[in-house]
Amino acid sequence: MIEFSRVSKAYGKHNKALDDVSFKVDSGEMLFLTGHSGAGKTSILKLIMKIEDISYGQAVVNGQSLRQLSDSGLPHYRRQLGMIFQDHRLLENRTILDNVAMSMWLRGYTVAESRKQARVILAQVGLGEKAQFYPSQLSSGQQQRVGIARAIISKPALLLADEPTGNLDPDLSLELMDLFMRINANGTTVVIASHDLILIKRLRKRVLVLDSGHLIDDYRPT
Amino acid sequence: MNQTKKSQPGIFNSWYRGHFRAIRGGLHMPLQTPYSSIFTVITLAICFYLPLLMWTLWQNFAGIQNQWQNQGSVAVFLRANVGSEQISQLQTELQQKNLIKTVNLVSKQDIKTDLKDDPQLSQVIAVIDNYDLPDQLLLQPHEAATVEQLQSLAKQLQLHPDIEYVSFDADWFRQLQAVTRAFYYLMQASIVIFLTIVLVFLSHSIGHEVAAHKAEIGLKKLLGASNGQIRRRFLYSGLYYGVVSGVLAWGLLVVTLWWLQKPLQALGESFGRAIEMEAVSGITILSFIAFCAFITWLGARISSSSHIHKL
Repeated sequence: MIEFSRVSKAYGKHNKALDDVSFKVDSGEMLFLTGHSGAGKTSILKLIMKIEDISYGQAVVNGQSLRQLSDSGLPHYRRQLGMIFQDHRLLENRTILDNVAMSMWLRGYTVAESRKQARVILAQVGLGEKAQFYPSQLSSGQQQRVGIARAIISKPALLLADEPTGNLDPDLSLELMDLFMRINANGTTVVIASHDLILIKRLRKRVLVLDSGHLIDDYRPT
Repeated sequence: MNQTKKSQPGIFNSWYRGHFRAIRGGLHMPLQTPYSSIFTVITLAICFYLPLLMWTLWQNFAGIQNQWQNQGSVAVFLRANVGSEQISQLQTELQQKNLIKTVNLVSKQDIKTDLKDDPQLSQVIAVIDNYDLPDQLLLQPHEAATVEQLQSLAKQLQLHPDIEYVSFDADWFRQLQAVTRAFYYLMQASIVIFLTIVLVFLSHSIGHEVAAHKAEIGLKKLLGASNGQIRRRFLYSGLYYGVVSGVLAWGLLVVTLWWLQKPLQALGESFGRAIEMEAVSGITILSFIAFCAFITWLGARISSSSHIHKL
């Protein structure tokens, strides 16, 4: 599903966010990227999403070489991925139903079809009753669940989450992780960037540990 | 976490649905900021109205010039000793010239009668004991005849032994043509200037709209929207601005022509001519509105493409 071969990402001559990072993630796997702030977790997600370009090395995601991915091919590539952001990135002037449905209608579904599917997904993340609410009317945890619903509505092959529990209390964090486990159990590859080691330990999943742009450990629980 | 997912819609369905949503989205966007949109429409309408007004005036002006040119004629005054047979021969000779449409004889008797019928000149004639008038041939040129050709003809006729004097005043024709030509260039310049203003102004407005939706556009890109998908509603907004401002510009033109009708009539009457301003035809209006829509669409296309690409 994901293969990074000696990937580096540099900003200018002396600032390397990633340095010679190699790893492989199989389809259907769930893993965590962890490390201190500035370790390179978010950089890996940004490279996978092609928000930024690789400076050196090769990366293949879902059979697509990121170096060879053209601007015109980018939308189609991104439609196979789901992304969850720490800051949720919900549109304040739309209901949460439309925030979730938007992902579907961008793929060509009708508004009615998209909203119908959005209601199903919102019910699955426990927000079925709040479909007509606006993001500002929801708690941070609920907003994060809307973000997850938006990311999974199109059933992506790969789900990426950047510090999804960053602003949540431990109980809510566990709830969200349970949600990710269920998504993963459904066959979706899940990559979560998190610095919450206690949570990561409890889930007993593969962990890639980063430090100052270097991959220093690839921990696989037995 | 079981999801039921329908098969991916086909390319045509996606395209059609995307446009359908953009048609509504493009309308929704100006309605969200009504005052700013009204200001945009009025500015665009003025920019479209001024070249349209100049074009309409030029069309009318050119028509009036043709009409007046056609009404112009060459007066050939014959020598006193020329007999009726020679006059008839000369008349036939002139009639055969390509530049001449008709040749009419105005005899001395006809001229005397006209003078007597004139309330002011009749009193002058009454106090003159003896006056002799020449016979006159009035030549009506063809529509295609140019001033230069007619001037050349007048010079040529002047050399004829039976002709005393040829009258053809070309100066006012030249002046009229020069004014029309200047007006034509002024119109062209105004079209270029105002269309540039439209493009710049609309690019700024659409650029502002794109900046206002920066977060939404960025998110849509991450969700897999293409630049074309994102651009669509901005293009439809541009199209709507063009149609509405085009209609408004046409309305302003109608009011202006109505406003100018009386003063222009009075001006024409002072020259002894009737001036009737012609409004633009239905086809021209539709073409004009379509042109406005195209220009604003183009402005929106250029602006949104560059701004969205940067995000």
